[in-house]
Amino acid sequence: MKNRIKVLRAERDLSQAALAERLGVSRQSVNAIETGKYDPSLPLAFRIAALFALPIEEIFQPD
Amino acid sequence: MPPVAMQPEMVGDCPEFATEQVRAARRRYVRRLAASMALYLVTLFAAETLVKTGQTSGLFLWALALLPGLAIAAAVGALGFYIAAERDEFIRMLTIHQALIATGLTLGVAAVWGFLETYGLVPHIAAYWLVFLWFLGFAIGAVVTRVTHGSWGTIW
Repeated sequence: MKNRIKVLRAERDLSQAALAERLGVSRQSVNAIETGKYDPSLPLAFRIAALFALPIEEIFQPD
Repeated sequence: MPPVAMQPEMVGDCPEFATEQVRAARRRYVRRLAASMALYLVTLFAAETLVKTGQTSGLFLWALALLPGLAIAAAVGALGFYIAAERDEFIRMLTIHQALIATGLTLGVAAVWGFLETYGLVPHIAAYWLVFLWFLGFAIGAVVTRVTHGSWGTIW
């Protein structure tokens, strides 16, 4: 699964730690998702989408 | 007057998943693990001192012999409760990976060693060493998750 979290985060001038804090997860989780080492669960993906105020398919795309 | 750059929209935090709750599970685990290890050291010292000098018998001997093992079992239980309570799904997945690696290593060594011991090729070892082997496997699992997922998971 590809995702645009790194770009979206940079547009909002958010560090990985700040995004992790807002999502209630560890910074390692955000890093693993951004680098494609971990695909988040559907509930976490929806939380990310809600945080960026975007539809989920604008953040996550299949490889 | 220069135009103000539009900041992309950002909805608020997710309070129901507050990071404080994520950290609380970890703190509880560390506290329980430390308490288990302290209990283990105290009960092991008591058992080594009293049992080996022949100062105990009956129910007191049973209690002394049981307590160090129960303290180690409590450490395993603390890890289990931590996995159940951890709200960070990525860290929880890594910790479960570590536990699976540890379990595979321990069961594999137990099976091989058991047959070697049965046929007199290796000496007998006390079963509690398997628990220490499991925790060694858990540490090896942390190295594996570091390589595969870029994170150490749960180191202690």
